[in-house]
Amino acid sequence: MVQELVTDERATPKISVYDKKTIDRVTADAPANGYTF
Amino acid sequence: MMPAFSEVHLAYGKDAPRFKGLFVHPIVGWVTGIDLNDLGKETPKVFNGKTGEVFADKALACHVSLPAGKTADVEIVNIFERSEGPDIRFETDGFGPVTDCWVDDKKTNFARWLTDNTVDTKLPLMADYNGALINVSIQAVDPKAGTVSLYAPVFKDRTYRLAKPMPDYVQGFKSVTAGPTHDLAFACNCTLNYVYGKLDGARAGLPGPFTFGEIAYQLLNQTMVYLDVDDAGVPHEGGGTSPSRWPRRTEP
Repeated sequence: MVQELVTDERATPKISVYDKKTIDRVTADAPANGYTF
Repeated sequence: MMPAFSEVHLAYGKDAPRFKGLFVHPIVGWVTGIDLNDLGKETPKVFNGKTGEVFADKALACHVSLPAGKTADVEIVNIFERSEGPDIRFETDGFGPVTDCWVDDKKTNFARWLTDNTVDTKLPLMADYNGALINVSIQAVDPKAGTVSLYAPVFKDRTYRLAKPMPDYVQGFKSVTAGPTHDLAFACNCTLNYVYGKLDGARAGLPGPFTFGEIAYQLLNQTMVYLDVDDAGVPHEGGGTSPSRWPRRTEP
């Protein structure tokens, strides 16, 4: 299944890697208007 | 996305409800799995398509900005209803192994209670989160050891009940998914619904993968979730409930 993300073309989506010690940063890294997938 | 049974999966399931600002930002995703025939032989993984990296112990998240005028909404679709009781409470937070619990204020061994009452363990435990019903699926019961393993954590400050029997999962999804009339950004459904509901070949719910756990802000089980991107200010359509509209709990 291939799904095209709905994005702001002026802001490239950012991929982040988290482990058990850093996963709580996921909310801080989230964009002000957007979503985290 | 996070690999099933990894430490980051367990940490997110247990701790995410206490993350600062969790319910402010739409977060949607899934717990990755394996072919059920490979249980015990393979480990679930996540793949970074940009770099080719493969992880069995880390989570990947893609943070996506939307243009002004657009808004993202994460919705939960739960086909189950809470039974009339009894009330079940647990002594500690976590996925288990659970030993003791309180059933209507009587302390008992959870595994023994499930066995003695011939409970259908395909039915999830359900807790009311300010009007939204959240499922916790039972993974395994070991009556000899007196332990129960769970696919999501229970929390000691919540009161659980078993779900009512679900005789027809296809009809269950049809009855709760009026569904948006436009294409959705993303949807996924739980593989337990696929297996227990015999959904192979059925048209039920929304298009998307079946997963080992769903994320709509926090970790969920036996649930369908979807992400909708729409014009800001447009009333949401569809059959779900959104944690972003739940009354806020006090966050640390």
